[in-house]
Amino acid sequence: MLNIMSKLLKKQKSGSVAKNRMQVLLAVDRQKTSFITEEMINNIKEEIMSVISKYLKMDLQSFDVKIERSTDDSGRVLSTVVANIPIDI
Amino acid sequence: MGKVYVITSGKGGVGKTTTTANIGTALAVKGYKVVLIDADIGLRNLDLIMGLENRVVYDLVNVIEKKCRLAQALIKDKRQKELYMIPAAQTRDKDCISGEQMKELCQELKKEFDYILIDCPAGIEQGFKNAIAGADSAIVVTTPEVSAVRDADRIIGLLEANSLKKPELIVNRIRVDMVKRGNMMSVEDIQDLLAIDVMGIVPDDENIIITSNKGEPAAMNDKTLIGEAYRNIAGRICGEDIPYIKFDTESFISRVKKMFGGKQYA
Repeated sequence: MLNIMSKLLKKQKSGSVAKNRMQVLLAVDRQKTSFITEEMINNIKEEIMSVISKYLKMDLQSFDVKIERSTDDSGRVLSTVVANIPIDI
Repeated sequence: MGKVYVITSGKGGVGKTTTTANIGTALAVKGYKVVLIDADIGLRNLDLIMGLENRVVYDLVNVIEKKCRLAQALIKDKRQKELYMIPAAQTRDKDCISGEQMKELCQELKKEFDYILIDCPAGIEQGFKNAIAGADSAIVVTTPEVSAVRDADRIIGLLEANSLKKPELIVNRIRVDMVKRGNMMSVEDIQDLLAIDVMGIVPDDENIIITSNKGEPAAMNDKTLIGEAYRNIAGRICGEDIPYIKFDTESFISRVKKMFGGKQYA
């Protein structure tokens, strides 16, 4: 009985532990080794802001620009600039 | 016009040289004219794995420095008619050649060979840069270990930054039993992490040690699973649509168990 209990409560297998650790680590590594810097993102953000605000009133609180890495159907890595620009009308 | 592949990994000891020797042999068995280049200058080993260590006279640096003709540095394989290799220099270092020189050499070889496979040194320094300079495509070798996967990810980033888009992955030394018990990352896990296409899965097999002991690449042997794995990779390089051997699924496990007549887990 104790055996079954301990089996049920057994920790995550090391294969999943490895995958979870790698998911976090690779995200950090990629950011560090990427030529896209925090400063660059901030500059992009400011310039977008200045262009949009010439014409529209922006909701600055939720305005956000980020780089997203994903893969397409053939496994090719795609990096995309994703901008969320809510406006007040 | 031939095609140049670089076989790379970042981390050392994951099986780049063995992979190069075996894919090259498998391509030659298929009837293609193939040349293998050992770009690991200072740490020559491909000749040893191929069993050609006694035939080395001239090397890669000699060719690049024009101390010999290209034909003089091409060592013909013992077994395959259309397989050749250019060994690395043993007493020089990686900085004695440039990427530009490697590019020129690859251009020259493309005229004569169907496939040119470059065995890349470990690391991300000059040796790596030289090895990838003339390549049309890249094959990244990794094992299911965290350190190898991390280095593979770094290498994939560097390859893509050097316009070697869409590198393909070989997962080496998979242990079916450990994946089954949840104690090893599966091929799917690794593919999820690295986000590139898998072009080959090679099981961990003691035959690899035995064949390198003898200097006879495993791809020649029709009977071993590992030979089949390398021949499948060669087939995929040639554009054949070959299904993957189901190493890490129930069907493969049961195949092995049936072989040993075991029913204890049924």
